[in-house]
Order: sequence, then C-alpha cells, then structure tokens
Amino acid sequence: MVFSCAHHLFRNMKNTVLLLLFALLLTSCLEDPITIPDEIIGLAPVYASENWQEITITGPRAIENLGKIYYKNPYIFATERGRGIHLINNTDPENPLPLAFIQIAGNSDLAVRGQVLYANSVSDLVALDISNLDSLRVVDRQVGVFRINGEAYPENYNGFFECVDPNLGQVVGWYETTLRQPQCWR
Amino acid sequence: MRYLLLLLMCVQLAGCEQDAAAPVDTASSSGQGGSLARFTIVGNFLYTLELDRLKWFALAADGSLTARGEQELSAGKETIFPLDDLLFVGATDGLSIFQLAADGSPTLRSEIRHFAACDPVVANERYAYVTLRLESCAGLFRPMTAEDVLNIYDVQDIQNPTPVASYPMIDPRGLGLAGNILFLCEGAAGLKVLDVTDPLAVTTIDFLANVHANDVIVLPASLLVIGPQAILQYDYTDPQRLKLLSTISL
Repeated sequence: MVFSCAHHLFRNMKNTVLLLLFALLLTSCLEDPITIPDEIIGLAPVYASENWQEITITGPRAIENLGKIYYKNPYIFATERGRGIHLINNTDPENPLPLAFIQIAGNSDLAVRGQVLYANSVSDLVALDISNLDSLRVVDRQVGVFRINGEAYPENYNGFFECVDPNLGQVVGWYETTLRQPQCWR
Repeated sequence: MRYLLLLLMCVQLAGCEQDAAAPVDTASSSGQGGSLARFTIVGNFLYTLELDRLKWFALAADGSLTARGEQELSAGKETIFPLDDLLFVGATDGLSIFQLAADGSPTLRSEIRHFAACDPVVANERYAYVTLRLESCAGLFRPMTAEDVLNIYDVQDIQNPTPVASYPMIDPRGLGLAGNILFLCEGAAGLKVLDVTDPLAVTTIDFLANVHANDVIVLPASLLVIGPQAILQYDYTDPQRLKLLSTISL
C-alpha cells in the first residue's frame, strides 16, 4: 500500500491535483479502518415517548436480548436490555414458569427486598410493589438519580453505539444492548 | 450538673444508635444478583453503582427510599458484589474494596489496579476472583496485547489485598462461587467449572462447551446460567458432571 502511494508521488510532482490526490491516498494508506462488527455490545438511545415513565405489567413475552438476572426465592428476575424485567416462577427448577413482563423504559439493573422491586428507568429509580402481579403498584420514584448522558452520542464512552435517529424523538438516555452492525462509534 | 445530664443524654443516644444497627429484619430479606450487577442490597440499604459514582439509599418497611449519600469515584466502575459488611467493586482499571458502616456509608479500604478490561468479581472471606476481559469488552473494542484471564487475590486483609495467581482464559465474563467451586462463564466458548481449593493449582473439572454463558447465579439447589437469549438451570451436586434441569427461552 505504501509503495503504491510513493509511486504516485514520483510520477508528477507539478500537478497540484495529483498532489492533492497523493495527500488523499496517503491518508487512506495510513488510516487503520474500523471494522464494523456483526454483533457487539454497545449503547443504544432511549427515545422519549410521552409516557416513558409509565410502568405496566403484561403476560410473559419472548426473551430477545437478556441483560442481567436476579434471584429472590422463588422468582427469577431477568432484564430485557433497556425495556423491562421478565418474571419467572422457579418453584420447580425443572419446570420454571414465565409469569409476566414488567415494562420499564431504559432499565438495566434491579434488586429486590421483601415484596419490593427496585429498578432503574432512564434517570429515575423506582420501587415497585410486586406482591400482587394483577395490580402492580409504584411505591416510590426518585427522579433524576442517575445521570442521563448526551443527546447526540453517549458521553464518557468510547465504543460502538447506535446512531441517533432524530425522527424517533428526543434522546432521554442510553442503555447497554447488543448492536448489529453499528454505524456510529467514538 | 446540667452538663452531666447532657453527657448522659449523649451516651443514651449513642446507645440507641447502636441498637439501630441490630441484625437485619429477615422477614424482608433481599435476593441475590449475578456478578454483573450494579445494584445490591445490604441490610436495609440499596447501593447503586454508576461509572463514576456510588449512591446509597435507606429502605423503609413500606419499600420507600431515602437518599442517604453518594461518593464520587474514579471512572470505569462496572460491577458490585456484597460480602458481609464489604462491597467489592470491579472497574475497568481495577478492584476496590469498601467497608460498610452501621449507617450504611461505605469507606474505601483498598484498591488494586490492573490493565484496562471488563472485570466482574466475586469473593469469599479469603479470596477475590476477578475475570479480566479485553477483546469483546464494551467500550474497549480495539484488541490489546494482554490476554484474558482469571485473577485471584488474597483479601484476608482488606487494607492490603495481594495478587496470588493468574490463569489464562478464553473469553471470561461473569462468575459464581459455591464453596471451593468457581463457575466461570466463557461467553460463546461455554461454561467452565473450576476447583479453586488451592488458588495456586486451580483445575478445570468440567467444561460445557455447547453453552453460551455470560453470567451465573449460584443457588442452594441449582445453578442459573444466563446467555444472550436463554436461562439454563443445572444441578451441580456433582460439580464434575453438571446436569441440565431446564431451559427458559420462551
């Protein structure tokens, strides 16, 4: 690659167009191109919808992008990256029973004490009473506990991220997830 | 005389403070997270870890939260593991050990630095086990020259943790401890079961190569293994021959 760049230089030094071409080729010779991975863990934006703070519970749904798990007898709690928490009854380890899915925008972590589930939701920290899955109750919400990173790109982060699409609304945060052929990085 | 009364009151209040540090109410006990956790509950406090900050909240009986404090930390903090009154915090540049006071506030006791990597940690009273991963670590996508490893540190003296041994691994991620057995996730490469009785002579006693393992939770009667799209559950009564009990993938 370097030899062919030098060859272009010696052919015609007077022509400024070729000089410019040389400069361009040189940069492309020396630059180490980033390889876009097929799949890699990185950050994706959470877009504000009018009701992103609304927490709802639905029947069990497919696990697509598993994040972390937490266990409090007899339940397994499994996060769906950035979207919410799956609840599974593990009373019989040979036949675990998916029970429900709690939708929590921008969720990545959780802990449970007694009948209360603590989870992050973008910048908020919420406490949910899960004693009755038919009527999920928000016990407490601490607003603005966690820093929301930048709007055009995630701050303090070097790696791949999903490019922001302004048509999808305002970015209210970033969550860690599996990216497929991401086109943005820092 | 007035000052004596004041002194007596102070002593009385101090005594009450100590009563407040009584054993945890087991009726509302907490569960357990994996080694990639950033939230953890110790006693009546919730600890939340961000890249450069540790916050803690007092938890009331009705579940409500009261912010109690926060501590700025050097950047790159990723995982948190509780052990008695200690918090082991894994970061891209090292491992920190905090000690928790009765009022829930953490005090940094020691730090071990290592090369930049993703590093979940688990520990017992004697040793801390840390996996260090570079190539596929989020935020560090340019491969570096050091290799992916399992590091073992002697943490009996939390003020002076010392490195004991280092073992090369394939793609080490989450881990879980069950007595002298260490379950180590190797991502797409599988799940390793290690005998860590002697940290200087750790051996692999089982290796499930057909499993995609990112993290584990060790339960009394089973082992939960999580991959990108499934939760597997194993009987580990015989750690040399793990037995698959069930798969959750919906």
